[in-house]
Amino acid sequence: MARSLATSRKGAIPATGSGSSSHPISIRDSNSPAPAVPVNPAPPAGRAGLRSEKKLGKITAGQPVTKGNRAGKSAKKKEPKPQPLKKECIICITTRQVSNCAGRGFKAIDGACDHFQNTCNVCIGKMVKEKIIKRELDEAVLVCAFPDCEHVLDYNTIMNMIFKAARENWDNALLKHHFSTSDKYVACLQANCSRYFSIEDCDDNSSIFKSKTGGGRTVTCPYCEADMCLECMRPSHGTDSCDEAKLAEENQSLELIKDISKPCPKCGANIQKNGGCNHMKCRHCKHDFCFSCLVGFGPMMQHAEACPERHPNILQDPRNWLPDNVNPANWMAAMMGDPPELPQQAGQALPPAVRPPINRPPNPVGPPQQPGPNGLFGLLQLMRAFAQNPPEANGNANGGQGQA
Amino acid sequence: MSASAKKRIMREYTECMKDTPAGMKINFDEQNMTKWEVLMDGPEGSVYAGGHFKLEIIFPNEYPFKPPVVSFRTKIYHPNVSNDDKGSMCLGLLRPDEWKPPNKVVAVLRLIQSLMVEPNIDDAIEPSIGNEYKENRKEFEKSAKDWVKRYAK
Repeated sequence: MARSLATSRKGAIPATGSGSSSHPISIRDSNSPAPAVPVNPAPPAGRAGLRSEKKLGKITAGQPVTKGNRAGKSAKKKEPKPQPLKKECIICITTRQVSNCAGRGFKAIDGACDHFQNTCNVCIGKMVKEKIIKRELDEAVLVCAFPDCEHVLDYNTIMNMIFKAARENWDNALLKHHFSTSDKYVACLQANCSRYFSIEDCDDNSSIFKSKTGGGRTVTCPYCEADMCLECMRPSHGTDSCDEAKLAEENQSLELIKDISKPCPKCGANIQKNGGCNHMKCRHCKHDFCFSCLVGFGPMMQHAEACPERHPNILQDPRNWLPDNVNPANWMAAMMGDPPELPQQAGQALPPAVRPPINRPPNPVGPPQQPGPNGLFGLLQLMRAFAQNPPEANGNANGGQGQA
Repeated sequence: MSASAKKRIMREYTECMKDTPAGMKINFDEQNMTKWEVLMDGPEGSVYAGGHFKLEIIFPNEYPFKPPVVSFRTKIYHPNVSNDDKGSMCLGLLRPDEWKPPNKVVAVLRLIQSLMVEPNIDDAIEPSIGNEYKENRKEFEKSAKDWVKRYAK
């Protein structure tokens, strides 16, 4: 800020040469078209001169005031000397030169509204770019964005204002949009070609139709010579009818789907996994399941025997809740008459057959005193008691995972 | 951010300073002018009267060709403000397809004020609140006032 203030002060002092404070540009009426560009603008004297011109020649949109100009009143009566005209864009608030060419400045547009007259070419280009991004390509025009102004800038006028790159981008986008929405053009089905070609003049006798077999009209791409059927818009299917071709394609698709996906065990929707862990949630029915073994997730789920996710359930592993000084194998054998069966069989995942520790042997460490806790709840109680009163030596096989 | 976008934001700020809409205060940081912090009082006569709401306006790099992003930093019970930690708004001229380069932030601020007086039910981001506003105005007003007391004092 400080710099620009200094330059404007510096520029206001000299009163000689073109574009000085004594000769500011008179401001045209907003209704009249932009003044013609001076044929032979006087070259600025130097850097300071250029800056002073920039400041003094500024036209504020819709407001014919030259900011901080001491000689503003007298200057209005005099004829302005030819010099590069400058205007401030009402969109980007940047002062730019009025020129008659495309690119950075302002281009005089005959008959355009005030708003377009005071919008620089760069901003016009950016509006066109926005139109491409928003896919507003049905009409190749710009409508004035100001409220209650319906002025339309046509294609040719815009093309004469914007940069070459912007012109090409817009042209390509318009062309592509036209091709894809028109029924007179088709795109080649080959992925490495996909160019559009016209089928407008293609009647049955046309040379573009290679063959008329199997009920389909076959057309050949003029670029890559790939055949396609115009009836069903599929790659040429020889002597088969379109229906047959469709069926074959559907079957092929189904096979591919079978190869790359698994059906949801609940609703049957085909699900493809593209990363992440095996815990899958069906987007369709919200069912949670293991993508490897298809067993549903739940509080006590157990994966199938062959599933890589399978590991002994913490709650079902007696080593996690037996005191350290008791040998689990011996204890189980004493209690059940057979060794512990771990892990469980597949399919019995929910609910798991947890064996309640009935008739617990006397425990020297100090287990909970409730006689014979039953079922899962009893197990949890036992575990909680151990968590509060942990065994002295932590020699659990599973590293003490049994905490509730 | 381009120099022209900065110029434009600067110009809008000076315009806002000259003619700030009533009940509003704008905190502007010249180092980071793409983020404005606005303190807005709940409009008199609305259910939000007496509350002070902090808003954040973030200008995209493509401003003014893309709309600014407005979010309520103070929780507000309103059909057009998302009821999450973002507090975002997306309606009317704030929508990318409706925004036009000549639009100014002042217009956005005025839109927010008028929405606080009368929500736009057809464009509700919180349909349940919108429905309550339509069907059970008393309940809506009670909740809105309660939230003002709780979050916006």
